[in-house]
Amino acid sequence: MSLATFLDQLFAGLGLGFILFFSAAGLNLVWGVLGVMNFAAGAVYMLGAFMATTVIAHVGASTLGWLLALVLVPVLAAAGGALAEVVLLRRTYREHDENQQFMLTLVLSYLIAGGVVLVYGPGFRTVSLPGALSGSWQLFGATLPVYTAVVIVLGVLVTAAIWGLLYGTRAGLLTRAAVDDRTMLSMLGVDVNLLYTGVFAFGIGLGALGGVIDAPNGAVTTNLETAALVPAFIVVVTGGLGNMTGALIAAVAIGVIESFVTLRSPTLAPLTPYAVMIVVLLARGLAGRSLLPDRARAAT
Amino acid sequence: MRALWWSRLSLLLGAPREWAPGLALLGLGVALPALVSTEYVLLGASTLVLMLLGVSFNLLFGYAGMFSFGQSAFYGVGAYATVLLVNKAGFDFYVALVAGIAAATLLASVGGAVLVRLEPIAFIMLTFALADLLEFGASHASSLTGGDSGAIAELPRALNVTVGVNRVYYVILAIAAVVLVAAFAFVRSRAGLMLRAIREEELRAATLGIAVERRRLGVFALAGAVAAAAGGLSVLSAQIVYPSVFAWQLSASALIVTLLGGVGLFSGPMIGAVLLELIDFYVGRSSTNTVLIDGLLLLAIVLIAPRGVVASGSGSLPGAASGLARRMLTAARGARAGAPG
Repeated sequence: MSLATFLDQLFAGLGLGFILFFSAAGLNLVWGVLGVMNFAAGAVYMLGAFMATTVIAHVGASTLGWLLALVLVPVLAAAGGALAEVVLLRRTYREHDENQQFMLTLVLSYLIAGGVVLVYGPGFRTVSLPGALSGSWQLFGATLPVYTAVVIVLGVLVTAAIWGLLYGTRAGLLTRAAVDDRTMLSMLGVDVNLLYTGVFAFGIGLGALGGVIDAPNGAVTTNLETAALVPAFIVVVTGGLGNMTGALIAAVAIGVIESFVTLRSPTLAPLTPYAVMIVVLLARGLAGRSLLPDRARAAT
Repeated sequence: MRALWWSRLSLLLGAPREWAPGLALLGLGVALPALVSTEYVLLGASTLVLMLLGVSFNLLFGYAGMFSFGQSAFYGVGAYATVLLVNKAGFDFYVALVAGIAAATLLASVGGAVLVRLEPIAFIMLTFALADLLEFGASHASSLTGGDSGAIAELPRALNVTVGVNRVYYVILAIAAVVLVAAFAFVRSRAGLMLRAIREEELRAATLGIAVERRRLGVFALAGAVAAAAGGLSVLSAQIVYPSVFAWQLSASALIVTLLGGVGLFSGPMIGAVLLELIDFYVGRSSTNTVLIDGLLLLAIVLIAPRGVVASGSGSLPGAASGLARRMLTAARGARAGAPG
């Protein structure tokens, strides 16, 4: 393999990996803090992609339109997430009814998917990239599409922002405290309900962001729901439940490996996440280790 | 003497709401072709298939506390094995069905040996991933499975649903009834009791000498077999198998019917299957956007009867009605108060 091909695949893989990480980070955060397995994550990703097509259709396929979609869609999705959390999920924490929680996120995924079909019809949409983002650069003989570079830079920025929020702000401190002992936190006078709403909204916003970024990479269809959900699940399991660093490593590794497998066999490439997961799980002795073991065990 | 006999029988069968609604449904099932038109007999056939899938999920989730989100994997293996053995190997349908159930049981035993050791959330996701992996395989191994265009079952005339609906319906009903009785016998057995002990208090069960992982593996294999029976019978009602038999939406249906009817009640998923099939049937008639309307209806049911229709009723019909009314009032009050946290 020449250096040029290697770099080509590496860039593509990094882009893929970061998109994967956004959905997985949203899932992971909501699971780690709220103990809710958000089954609607795939639907949110799909919704993000569809909403991006709307924004760009209205504002135009310019850099402005694209930037607007990048900011507006996750914010709108997060607002929707906050609403869903307050109206549907909040009532379930007190009853500790995990079945109902899972059922509600499943219902949410049905409502989102149904809403998308209602608004956009059963067909597919596409978004074209603005001129400024659609070219490519030459680097050591490799072709680096501008958009891939943008995705990688965005990926690094958003990842840094997540870490900054979790470890550098008071909200992040409280979030990590809520993972450890929510009752104690609430007794100390922290508004845990508000915190939960915020975390859920943030998770939904991250998932939608993944959808927006992925939208120009191909046709935007309802198939995106399953296409996003399964790898996100796999990343969360591979990285360790509730473990953000693990999820980041798993997502980037899966993205890069999948990109190299594509070179050899495009048909088998979608199996990469499974292969990585199986190897990691076996190597870890099937223990499913996690940085947040209390939550993972308490939720049985 | 007689009193003892009766109390033993009720000990054997459990509370009436465990089995009575299911028994009533099977009775209704026997009479169905005499009561309704062909269209509804077909609906009855697919309801029976969904019932078995729901019971399979409930065996794991309701009785053992194991949340499998991949029962479609075993359903699909049952369906594909049956069709392929009939088409490619010339097997008799019933032999192929039994072989399909055996294949799924084997898969569940081998896969389960790893899966049942995982923590609950990894168990959910990996059972989900298993089904997705099989869907990928069925879709890509097109020389064997026909790929996305599906495999049409080459069944004899006697088992062709377009030739004789009622005959095929009764075949499905008879096999489904046998599987249901076997599954019910299992949950009422000592093994079923041990599983419930594990569900309630794993550590205590282990301390009492129950082999937790072996029991879990056992019920996982059994649930795989029940799901495969559902898949094999779906070959009769649908006459064709697509890779979508492995889709997560099917596993979601198993979950939905169980939650609709009542988790951990044997009749729960049976009642739930009837409700979901009726909802889908009438929604499908009036709208193409079934997902949205399904979602809205499910939302209403989750909010009004969160513990399932069977569990929410108190056994008697007036009790059920008052229970429902109370829940609706509570839900309305909760909504007005801005969903208290």
